[in-house]
Amino acid sequence: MSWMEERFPGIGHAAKEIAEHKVPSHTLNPIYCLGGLTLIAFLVQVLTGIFLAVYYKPTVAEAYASVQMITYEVRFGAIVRSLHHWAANLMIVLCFLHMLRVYYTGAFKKPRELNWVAGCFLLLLSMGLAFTGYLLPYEQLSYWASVIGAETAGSLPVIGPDLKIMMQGGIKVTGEMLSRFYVLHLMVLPAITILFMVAHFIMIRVQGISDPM
Amino acid sequence: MEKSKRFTIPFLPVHATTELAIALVFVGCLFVLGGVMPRGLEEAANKLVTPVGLKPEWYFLWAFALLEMIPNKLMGIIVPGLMVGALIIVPWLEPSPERKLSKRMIAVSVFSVMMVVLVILTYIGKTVTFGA
Repeated sequence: MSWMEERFPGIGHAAKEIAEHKVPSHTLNPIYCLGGLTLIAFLVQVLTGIFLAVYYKPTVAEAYASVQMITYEVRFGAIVRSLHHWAANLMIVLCFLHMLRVYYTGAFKKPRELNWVAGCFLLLLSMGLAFTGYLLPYEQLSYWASVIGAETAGSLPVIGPDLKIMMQGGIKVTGEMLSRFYVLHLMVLPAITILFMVAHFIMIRVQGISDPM
Repeated sequence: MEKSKRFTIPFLPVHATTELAIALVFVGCLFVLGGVMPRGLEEAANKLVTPVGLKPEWYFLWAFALLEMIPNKLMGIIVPGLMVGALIIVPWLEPSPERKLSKRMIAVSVFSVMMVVLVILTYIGKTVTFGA
């Protein structure tokens, strides 16, 4: 520890602080675990997502065939894909239930208002991740769900038409749509999600866990 | 700010190990779900054939139901947008510092009704076939 202490002054104190941090015992209630489980679901998504990204090919010609290969040929491919599917759905469920817990226990009240806002954005980001990921297998339903999604975005006022062109990669749906959803799903949205998660956890630490009712 | 720290447990080892145990049970549940109900593969995308009765994934069904039920397309987007906006500003819609449920009956009732509406909209989105 002194070797580390010499290179990072104060790290011993910080580690001690984390280890001995006092947690209110009312958080050992299962309804207080929902937020933590949402994080676990996200971590499962990162790990299974890396596995899937190794074999997946984000082109119109190869996307479906590569998912077929993951499902039927790659060792553990089928179970990893199923884990990714279930953890995605449960991440949204758990995030929503966590929000209900925070609402009904009044834990969002002063001084934790901004953490509620960060949590809302995390819920929306989870849905955005699910939406963009749904297109990637390039199945019949997932393709048309994205087409309709872009169509819906297109009827927004002011930004709608441009947003639709950005999503589709053109005035009509093009193969670029898959590339764009792929980049959003693998880079842009996870990066934003991680930033919001870090902010969420820092606020929990700074503002403390709310008292029992 | 905090009234009391009456009962606390140390983060290490008690809290961290309890959380870890719950996390492992959760991951176990994921394996069971994935094994019992695997994510199969449906037919490949066909740009020439629009599927009939197309529905979004379950978490968008509530917005889908609103979009289909409101005749004005712009309003059909604005209404779900306002609902999301209202959710984000909940702390300012309910600014009183009172946390006891019995002392915030009106706000809790409104929120609960909205949640029930969300469930009903999801049910409508799931079961009703829209369009001509």
